[in-house]
Amino acid sequence: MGKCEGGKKVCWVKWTTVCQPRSKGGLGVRNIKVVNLSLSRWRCLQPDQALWKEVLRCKYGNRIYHLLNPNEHFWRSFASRWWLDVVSLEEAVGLNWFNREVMRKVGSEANTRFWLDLWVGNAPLCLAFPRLFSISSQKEAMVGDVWVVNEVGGAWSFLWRRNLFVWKGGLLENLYVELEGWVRTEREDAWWWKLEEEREILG
Amino acid sequence: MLGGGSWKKKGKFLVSSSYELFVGLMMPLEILSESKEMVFGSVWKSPVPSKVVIFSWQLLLDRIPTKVNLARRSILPDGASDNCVFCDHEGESSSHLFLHCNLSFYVWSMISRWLKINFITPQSLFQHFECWSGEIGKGSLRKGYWLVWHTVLWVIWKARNDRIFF
Repeated sequence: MGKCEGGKKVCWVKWTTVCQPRSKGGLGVRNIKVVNLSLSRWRCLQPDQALWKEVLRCKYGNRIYHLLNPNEHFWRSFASRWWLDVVSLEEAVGLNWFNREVMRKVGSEANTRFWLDLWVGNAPLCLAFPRLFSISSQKEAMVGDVWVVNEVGGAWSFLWRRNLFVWKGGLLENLYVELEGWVRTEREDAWWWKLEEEREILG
Repeated sequence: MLGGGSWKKKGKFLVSSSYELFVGLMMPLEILSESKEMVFGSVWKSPVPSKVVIFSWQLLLDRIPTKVNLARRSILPDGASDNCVFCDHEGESSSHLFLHCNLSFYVWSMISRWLKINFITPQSLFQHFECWSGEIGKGSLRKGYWLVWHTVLWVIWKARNDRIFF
């Protein structure tokens, strides 16, 4: 907040203070950079096919449509400044904030990865059931590949690299319990912003 | 099972909800006491021009160019006194200039007599605003009394600048 005419102005109040809500001593100004980057990240995940996303996909691959693993920065050497900013928002704001706040709602299960994406429970199934994941032979499979439609609706059809031991049978039971809440619908899979869901429930 | 169409409405990305998250995660500041939060929340609820409220806000943060603040940033010329232009007795700090200097003390007491409110001048401007708000209750006059509070600060500052810059 400078005041003099021309020349270098004195910053009396630091920007992080200005960005606070008024009741916390700020002016309630938004840090537009943060807002912009998070919006870009969100728009990437949306199903529309905008030209700017096509450009990104050609350069960085299909991974831009999924949640980014913050440890996987293979593009460091060739990515544009802007894309690096979008990706590093994850680190700037707090590790994994986006992955925690966004989850996948699976409908017609065409393009959500069964083990790797967060779509049931509180974590991706590969993290919730690491032992089962380690012997799965469907590691990259989409939900639709694991779910087999039959006369009575459908059933999970898992493929394992070897037979399950008895103790792993118990794990499998838990996995079925986790999957129980999910109902297949004809809707397109979509991303879901969890904060808003909580707010809806509270409000 | 989720009802039809509810996905479209719920689970949308809203800047407002994500921004609250960012502010919490990204810009941790010193935690303000509850009473300070109350003061910061209330100062804006007054029908004064925004330049005046913004001045009061900067003043509460002690981020206005008083001589003490200028000296701390080495902006005063060498050898220049940082004494208050009104009394030339004490350093011109925010709390001195607006509360404890003889002149501002006198102004506040005249204003208090006019509005028939009574309190002892506290140490800080935060406490001053709290006492001021405490005296006037919760009625509809509140905003008017706050307006007076802002105005007094603004006018003291104008008078101080007129002394220095003619």
